[in-house]
Amino acid sequence: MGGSNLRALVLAAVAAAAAGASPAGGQCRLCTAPTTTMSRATGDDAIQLEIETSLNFDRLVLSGTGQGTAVIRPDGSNAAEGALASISPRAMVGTAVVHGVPGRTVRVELPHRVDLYSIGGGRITLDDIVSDLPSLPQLDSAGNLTFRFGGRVRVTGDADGDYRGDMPVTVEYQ
Amino acid sequence: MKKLLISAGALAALALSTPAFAANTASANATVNIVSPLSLTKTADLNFGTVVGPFAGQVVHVDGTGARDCAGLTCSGTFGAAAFTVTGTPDQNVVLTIPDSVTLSGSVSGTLDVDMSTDKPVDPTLDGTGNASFAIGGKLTIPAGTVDGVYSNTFDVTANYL
Repeated sequence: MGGSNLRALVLAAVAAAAAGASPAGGQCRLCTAPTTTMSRATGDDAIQLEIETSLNFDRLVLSGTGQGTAVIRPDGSNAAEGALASISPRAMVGTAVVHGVPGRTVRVELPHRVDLYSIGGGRITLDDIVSDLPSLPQLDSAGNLTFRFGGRVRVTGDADGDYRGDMPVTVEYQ
Repeated sequence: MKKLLISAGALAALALSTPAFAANTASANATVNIVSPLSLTKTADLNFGTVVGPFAGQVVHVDGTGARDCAGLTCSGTFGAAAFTVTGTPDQNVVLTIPDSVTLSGSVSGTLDVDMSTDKPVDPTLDGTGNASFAIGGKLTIPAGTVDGVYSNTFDVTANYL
């Protein structure tokens, strides 16, 4: 009798745990246009990501017909070479802020490369996307972590156009 | 029995405390505008033509449309505004840098001032083919005692993407 009561109690506890666990928030990482999924939890353990500035190379002037590259580094420095002249002083590094539980370590996932497209159908590659995050990013005492990110564009001599693309950034607690 | 009850309760509490939303995704934009180098070509000089005195500080005006006002003096010959063509990537805005004035040097002696500050064009936008044209006029002041001759000089015009 005692044994069967014990088994019933353990089974009830497991059932309660299963009923209480809420489903994870849906994230469409494979979508072409990932959307921001704001946490539905109102508790202090929710993690949020805010993009403050997008990565903007502003204007690049082609100086030749060959291939050229332009890079914006996370520290804000930049360089251009090949068929591209110098980068405009209005070029901007990307910045983002993570909000969550103070002191928690987080993992930030950036794509290594994305394609940028123009209205005219042109396509160029933004690759070598890197950030200034340390190897073990951690939220500060206020629960915030700010980081910057940059990348490199590669173009050929006939690539005139206004190019845009989306970079999905994901953060989660370690 | 008591020990087992406590363990079961702890198991339930542990299972229920897992955060429901421990990840978040946002999308950052990446943008770049790639343009061809600008090319600027002069297609006509600013020309006031031939002006006959007597001079007493009259101002001969050639405006941006190329029209000439001789201020009562006798004018003849070919005249017109300076004209330029700028070429680059279509639909881009361009900023022009044009001096406010230029001093002409006489072929014999003396100088004459041309004020261009009120005859500058608005900054152009390249059209769908990547071209734009603009003109520059000026006001030539001819003081008394101006020596006969051909007065001329050059001035620089610069075009940059906005």
